Amino acid sequence: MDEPILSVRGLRKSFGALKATDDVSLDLVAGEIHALIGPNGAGKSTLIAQLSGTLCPDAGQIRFGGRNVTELAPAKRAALGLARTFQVSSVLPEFSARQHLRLACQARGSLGFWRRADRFTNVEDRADQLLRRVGLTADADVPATDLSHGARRRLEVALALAGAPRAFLMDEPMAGLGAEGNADLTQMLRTLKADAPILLVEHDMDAVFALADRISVLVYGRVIATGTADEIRVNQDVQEAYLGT
Amino acid sequence: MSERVISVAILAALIGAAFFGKLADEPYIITLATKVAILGLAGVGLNFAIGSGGMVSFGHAAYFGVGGYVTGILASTALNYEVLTSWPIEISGTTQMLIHWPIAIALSAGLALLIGAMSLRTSGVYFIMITLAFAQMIYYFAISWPSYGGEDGLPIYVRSDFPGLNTLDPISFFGVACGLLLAVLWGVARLMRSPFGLALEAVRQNPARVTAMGLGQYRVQLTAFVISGAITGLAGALYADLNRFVSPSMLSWATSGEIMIFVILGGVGRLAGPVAGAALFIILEQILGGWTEHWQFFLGVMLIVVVLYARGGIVGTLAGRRRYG
Repeated sequence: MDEPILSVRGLRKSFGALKATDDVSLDLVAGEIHALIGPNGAGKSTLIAQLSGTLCPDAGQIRFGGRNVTELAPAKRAALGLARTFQVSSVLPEFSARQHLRLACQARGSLGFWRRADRFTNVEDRADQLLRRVGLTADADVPATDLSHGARRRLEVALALAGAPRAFLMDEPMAGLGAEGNADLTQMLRTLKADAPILLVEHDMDAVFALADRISVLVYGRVIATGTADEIRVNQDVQEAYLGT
Repeated sequence: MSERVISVAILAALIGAAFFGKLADEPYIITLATKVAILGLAGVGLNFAIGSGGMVSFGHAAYFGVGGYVTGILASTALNYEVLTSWPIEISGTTQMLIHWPIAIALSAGLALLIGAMSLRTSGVYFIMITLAFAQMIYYFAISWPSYGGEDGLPIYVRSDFPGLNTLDPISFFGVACGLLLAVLWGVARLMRSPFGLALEAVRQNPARVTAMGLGQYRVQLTAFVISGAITGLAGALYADLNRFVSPSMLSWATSGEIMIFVILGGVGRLAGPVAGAALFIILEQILGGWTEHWQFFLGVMLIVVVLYARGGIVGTLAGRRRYG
């Protein structure tokens, strides 16, 4: 196996007596979708927050692209290519999809003060290409506040793609989508892993077992099992702790 | 009506008022128009922080006053044939506006960098309070600094010079103030359409999203805060020349409040909004102020109405929802 792009070792985070993250170690390697599942309150969101940098771990190490990023600010991690999508769609309500992408494509360079933001042809081309890819071309100029929930989800994916990602952190991308939107997004995520590996936190078990190359199961802050979908399905501990209920 | 049309109308009305004053031989009207241009410019600076950057500063009097004192100190030293300092090199004052302005801009920008760097670690009501606290520190410093007038303020006996113009002629000085206002408005409009402006608008709407794009919110906001302070500082330099007087009242929290009133009346985040707000303020002051000294009661009522029923202020009510280029 190649050196993992994202590697977590011995991560711990407690809130008082509650161990939200308890000695978690996991890897994300090129070309895979690594799903993280677990019952409510298992510490999935806390783990994502530490990976993206909004929460600082008590102990342990996070390495990204061969570099220790445990103490790095969220914006700097994102600039290194750690792209995330949010559990609750996080968009800029007054901006259109095209303006989102315009900004996302320029965010990592130095920001100009003078030339009009819409006069950078390479940026416009890239934005068009991303809009096509997620199927938002028709709604490109609608303010995000007027976009449907599914369209906002796809916009988030396009934004994650815009930053030259080396890994995706996706926090419940299927949340609140209908069956059809769900199928669309499942298909999209499948093509996405060719761009960069995905660490996928998801409640929708059908999607997880259809997509994931590997699954880690988190219960009470601990990873109790890691393996392929088939291995996880038959794992005794997992059945007891989670799937069996 | 598009916002662009409204902006042009506001500025045309301002220039029209000044020329009416010239034709009707009513220099007082020209002076009022000049005051609107200068206070509007101060508001444009604050509006850049509040409307575009989402940073509600309640201490912009600090930059306004520092700009004013730059003009006041440089000009009065020159007029009194004194030197500013004789160590390490001898520096004398000057009555040249073209020298006052860059110094006012540089000092207020530097001050905004210092205050912003600390204040931007907070947000919301704490940000409002900390910016107010810094401005109050400077206010009390000015009061207790006797070399430049202290509490009594500092008169400038002759208005500063601008090459080729007689600045004591009201319409010439209006031209200077209005020209600067137009130049700054053009620059701000340009800035807001640049990638930096896009990022600033984005930070105001949703900082978490911008962070996820790999862009630090702090750097973007601090840059905007410095630009905002510099614009208001430039307005302060002009205001000192308008009144031929600077005093600590330019630095007081009431001044911060007034600049904020221009922004709110005119329309938060609207390019020419503060100019309309300052104009309305001056008109109310002139009309109601001649009638009762408690005219600010009516200003308060008007503010409440705007805040409750017309959040977009004058420009926002006329132009409707904001659009982004």
